[in-house]
Amino acid sequence: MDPSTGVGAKVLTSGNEAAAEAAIRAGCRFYAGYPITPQVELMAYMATELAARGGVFVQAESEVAAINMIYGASAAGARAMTSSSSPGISLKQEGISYLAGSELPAVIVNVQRGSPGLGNISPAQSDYYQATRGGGHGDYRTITLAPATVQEMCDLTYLAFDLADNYRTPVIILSDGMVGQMMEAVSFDHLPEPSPPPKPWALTGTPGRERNTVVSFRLTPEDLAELNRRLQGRYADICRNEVLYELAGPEDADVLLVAYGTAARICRQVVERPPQALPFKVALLRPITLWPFPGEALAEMAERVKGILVVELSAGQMVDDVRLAVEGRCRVEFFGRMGGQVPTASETVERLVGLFA
Amino acid sequence: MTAKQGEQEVATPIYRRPPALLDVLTHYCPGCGHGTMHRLLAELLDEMGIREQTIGVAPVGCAVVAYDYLDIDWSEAAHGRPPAVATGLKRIHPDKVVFTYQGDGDLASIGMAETIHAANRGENISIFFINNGIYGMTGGQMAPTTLIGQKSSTTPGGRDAEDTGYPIRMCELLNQLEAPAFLARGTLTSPRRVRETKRLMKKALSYQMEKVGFSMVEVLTSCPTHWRMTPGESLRYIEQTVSRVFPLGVIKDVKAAEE
Amino acid sequence: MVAADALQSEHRLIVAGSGGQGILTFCKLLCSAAVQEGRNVTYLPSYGPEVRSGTARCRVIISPETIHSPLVEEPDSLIVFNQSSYDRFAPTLRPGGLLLVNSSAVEAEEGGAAKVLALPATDLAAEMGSVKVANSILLGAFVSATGVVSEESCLDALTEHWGRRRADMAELNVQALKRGAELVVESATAPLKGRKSV
Ligand SMILES: Cc1ncc(C[n+]2csc(CCOP(=O)(O)OP(=O)(O)O)c2C)c(N)n1
Repeated sequence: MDPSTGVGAKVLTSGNEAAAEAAIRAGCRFYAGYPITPQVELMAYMATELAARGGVFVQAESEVAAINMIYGASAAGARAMTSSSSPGISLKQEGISYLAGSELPAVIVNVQRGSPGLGNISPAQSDYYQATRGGGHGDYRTITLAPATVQEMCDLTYLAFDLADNYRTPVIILSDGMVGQMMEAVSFDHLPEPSPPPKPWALTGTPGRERNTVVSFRLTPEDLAELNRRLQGRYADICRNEVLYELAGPEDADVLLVAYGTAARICRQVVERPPQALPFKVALLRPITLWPFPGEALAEMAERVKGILVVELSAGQMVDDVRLAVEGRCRVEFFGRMGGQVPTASETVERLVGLFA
Repeated sequence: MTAKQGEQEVATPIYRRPPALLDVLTHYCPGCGHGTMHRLLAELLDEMGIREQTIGVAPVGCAVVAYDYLDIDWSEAAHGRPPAVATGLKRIHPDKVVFTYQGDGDLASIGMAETIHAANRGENISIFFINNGIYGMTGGQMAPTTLIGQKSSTTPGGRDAEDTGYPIRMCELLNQLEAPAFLARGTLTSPRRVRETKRLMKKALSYQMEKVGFSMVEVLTSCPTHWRMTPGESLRYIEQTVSRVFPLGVIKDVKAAEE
Repeated sequence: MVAADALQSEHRLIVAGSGGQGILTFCKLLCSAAVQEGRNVTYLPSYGPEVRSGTARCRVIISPETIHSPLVEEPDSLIVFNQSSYDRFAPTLRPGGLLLVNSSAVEAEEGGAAKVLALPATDLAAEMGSVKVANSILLGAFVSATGVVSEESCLDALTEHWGRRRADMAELNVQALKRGAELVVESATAPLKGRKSV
């Protein structure tokens, strides 16, 4: 997109570029990344725009280097971001664990592709476990936001910087190749001027204050337990305060679809304008935060519907969280596509009818 | 050349597909160097009679499916890790010929540590390093070997040394180590250059078979698509500009030094 | 030829050909024009790992309403730049839909349920000075045949796009777009049936 025309009107923009533009507007001052499809547009946008607007862009020699550059920039007090796609996100896991352990804010965009291994460059949602369980070593979680539209690539990226700073934690934007590369009309004008909280813990040199250290290491079990307790306390706050989801469709639905990101768009089509008529009423619950997961809302819905169909571009990962939340209140079924395939609305209807008619 | 066959005159082909080169349509862009490199490797495997003894390690890059072209055993490796994978293969099969085939992003950026340490251990493997000065597969980003001033999607104003440093000369860098046996650089800009490069590649493979040690042949190739040049222009660019930064020739040859 | 309700209804199309033929630019310009007219769009590209000469295709939906699934199962229009795309996608076209083909590279079968518009876009573009403007010829033809967006907003989008990238190509693309649109108008007065191309 061309930021010069981005005033007033909506602009045609890809998800990757929308995330980059939103990051810059959120006050991101440092970006480091390593090229990988399908997120290269985000990086290219940063290469051109971030530097031109006063920030720092670094093409790192690897994803490992990139995430550690983010560690440094964040420790220095700057809003910092990196982005990659599945194989590269795997390489970043050590760094993300260090960010979590050192209580450093950071925004990490994963434009997921089909995996395991090298996989391919088509959209997938098979990194759900990795994103929502804390993909590296140790007892930590990362707030995980799941955009379904290009506008949400913008809005959730902006939000991610605030959440990261407020809770001093890495935040993952779990996107996929479809939302990342798709273009839609997007508005940026509603984004407020960023107001990051003060960061008294940042490394800025010590004129007039005690020294700061940004470390995850604690020698004694007691001290390490204390750090872990603080993290867990913060995670509990996040679960209380930051759950986001969207409900669509009739209140008296017979069957509830549960899906996020790209899969949720397909399901929303089924709810709003199904390609074939359905013999029962269908609604959609779309988690926007995957962690914290909207389990309570789901449990409540489970009391009212006959069954739930979870749709994912994976072999079934979020469906575990759905089952944990539903606790047997109703039937939970799964429909997925793997390898970078995206189910169509017709296929979803077919599956719904097959299972619940 | 013609030959009599009964009454009919049949043309005798003087340019054939080497048997080790599989009969598949190329997925490479017009003017790309990977095609020639695949062919040279196939010719060598046939001429040296080592096709059945050879195991290749493919990179992540435009040549990710190199295994579709050469009729030998192949392994994939994560981006940048071929020298480590090759180390494992070679240590289990010391009598097989093990080579890696890597681009500049793979070998000199994300895989720099694996490259240096495999060389430093003197692993008895051969690395064929295809240096096209750009990230081809991901759409034309800067590589560690991109020239100063060269445009890419992550250096839209041209590579600026102050911000991104200088092109890395891998042969010269590895030449600082004791262990490597053979380090050389060729290109493919003319039939003569292609033959020279083939000789360097042959030497690398022979040294490995003689257990002389680690060898790497760097080959300067073109990427007309991302250089935004015609194939002809890119060959001239290599001759006139790229090979000034990356001098052609043998950088290290332990056997020649002994003699 | 322009459907009176073109602006009120949703239009779903697939544009396909090989990499380097300007498929994505075609779709980008169409979408920019639609956004300028205040409509919702989804532009969903997909391409093979090859940079050149691989397949390139893009699914576009233009709608006055919010668009949910960006997938296009039964396109209202299909624009094909090469034979393999024709072979692959022609059977998916909605009955009564529009099939716009680059007849320089595609042999389309007459008959069937589709309305067929065949333009030798590559040849026409070569005559105009560059095969690269074949996509603009087809864009002009598409817009003129369907009225999905106005020719003016398309011209605006095109001028803006090329003005920023390669100003020297802007004028030729404008001419090409107009040429494509004219050819459709001419073909509307002369019956299409039985003609290989217009
Ligand atoms: C861990 C990881 N990071 C990034 C990528 C994306 N990627 C694929 S190929 C490539 C670099 C290609 O450049 P090069 O090695 O120079 O080879 P070329 O394509 O130019 O032949 C990258 C960064 C990946 N597959 N895995």
